[in-house]
Amino acid sequence: MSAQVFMDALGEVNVKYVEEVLTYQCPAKRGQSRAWLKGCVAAGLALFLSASIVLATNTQARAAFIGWIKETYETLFVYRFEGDANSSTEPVVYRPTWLPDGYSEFLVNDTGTSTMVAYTNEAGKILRFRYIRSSDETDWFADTTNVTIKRTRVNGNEAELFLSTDADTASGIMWSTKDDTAFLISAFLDEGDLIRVAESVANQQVLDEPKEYELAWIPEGYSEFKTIEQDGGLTVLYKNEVGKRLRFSSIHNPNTIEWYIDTANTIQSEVQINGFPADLFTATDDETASIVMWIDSNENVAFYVSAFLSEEDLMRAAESVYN
Amino acid sequence: MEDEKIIDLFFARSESAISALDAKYGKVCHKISYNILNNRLDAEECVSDAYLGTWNAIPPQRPNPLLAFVCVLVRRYSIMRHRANTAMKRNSSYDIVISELEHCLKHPDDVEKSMETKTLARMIEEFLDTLTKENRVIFMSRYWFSDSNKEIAARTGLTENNVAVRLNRIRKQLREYLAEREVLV
Repeated sequence: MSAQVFMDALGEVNVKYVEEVLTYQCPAKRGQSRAWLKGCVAAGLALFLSASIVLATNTQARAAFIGWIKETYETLFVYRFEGDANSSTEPVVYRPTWLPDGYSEFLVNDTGTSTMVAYTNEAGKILRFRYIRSSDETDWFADTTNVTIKRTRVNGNEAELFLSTDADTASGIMWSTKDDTAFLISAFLDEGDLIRVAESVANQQVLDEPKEYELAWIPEGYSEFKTIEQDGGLTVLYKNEVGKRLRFSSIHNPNTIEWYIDTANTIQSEVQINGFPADLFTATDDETASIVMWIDSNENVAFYVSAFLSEEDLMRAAESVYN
Repeated sequence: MEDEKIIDLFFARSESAISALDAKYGKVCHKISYNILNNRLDAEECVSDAYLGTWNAIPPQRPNPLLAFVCVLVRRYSIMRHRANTAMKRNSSYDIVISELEHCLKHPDDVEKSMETKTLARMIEEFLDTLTKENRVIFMSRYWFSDSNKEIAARTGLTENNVAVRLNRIRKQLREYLAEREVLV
């Protein structure tokens, strides 16, 4: 079939397709994004290019793939989402939790599905952090001029590192996670610092809204009677019919907290609670509560359980912590 | 002036109907024609022919939307002029989009199937319906309006690179779509 035949037929399509073009309004949020982009270009923020092909360009292979894929088009490295967009509407706020000294946030642009945060230091160097959640019809382009491409990993996820070979071009790193969030960081940093920033990216909401922990098991006869929120943590008090108390505390970011334990009438020992080293203070008389305390280093949360219980029951209660 | 009033002028056989039409939609019409012909004089003539065609069609027709109706006529007259004007240098936007599609649609063995234009048009409509609205606008902008990637980027809010990649992708989809229906053997 010749192109002329096709063009003739295209001229015969329903007028609604013509009308659609004539009346098309581009999404406002993209307009904002472009305005921001221009600002960044004006600020001298460099993008980067690549010429590597990560996923085969075979159409059938791509059709079966859902998620972020990478392909090349002419001289462009393209990072795009294939498949249904993530239907989750829960807001997720990611931020790097580590930045090189001197960098501070100066611009945030959030379009709902795509977020960009720009940081700058005293020298005016810009660090750009961007993420997007499995948005359909989204392409990221990278400029390969003066850049060396390297494969690496960010917290176990495959990543592309774009290392600049000249002082005026930013280096960058792109990666995506299992929940189909894609990340991009560009900055005038060396490889080590760039990866360190990337690996520090965390869900800010998780940090801002700490998990609430509870005891899945408490001895028979005990019931909750008071909850106290303080110092970034939560304390739940239980008591039984005879007024004996059981205290359970969970403190986030425990490096800001100091707990003082009266070791009188206790025997101290080291135990393990759910795989974490713990200090057990076993009471030697009936008037003293036993205590166990430990830090979940994965979640950076400190736990404290004290009660008038046997060592076995105290440990059982401690090991039942869940969120 | 609202489309309804312009159409009323046509119904009243008022000569100001064409002036009103040109005042409102002349720019769009000239652009479509110029994209195809790359010649302002030829484009002006084709737009005038399209206005005359509109004059002849209304009444009895009362096209809604009016602009799309006139655009169809402009494109049709412009393509006819383009084909007739064999001496013209092939450097218009239309020539470029034609060459893109030839590359996309031409089979290496040069096997060509004849097909009625209207049948193919329905097939193209079905293909257009498989696209997202944005991709449909990009495709139509490029191949119906012969717009440049830069113009499409401005219309859609995408970058030129993004538009180029999208078009490349849509052409591949089109080729596969037509091949599955044995339009391309």
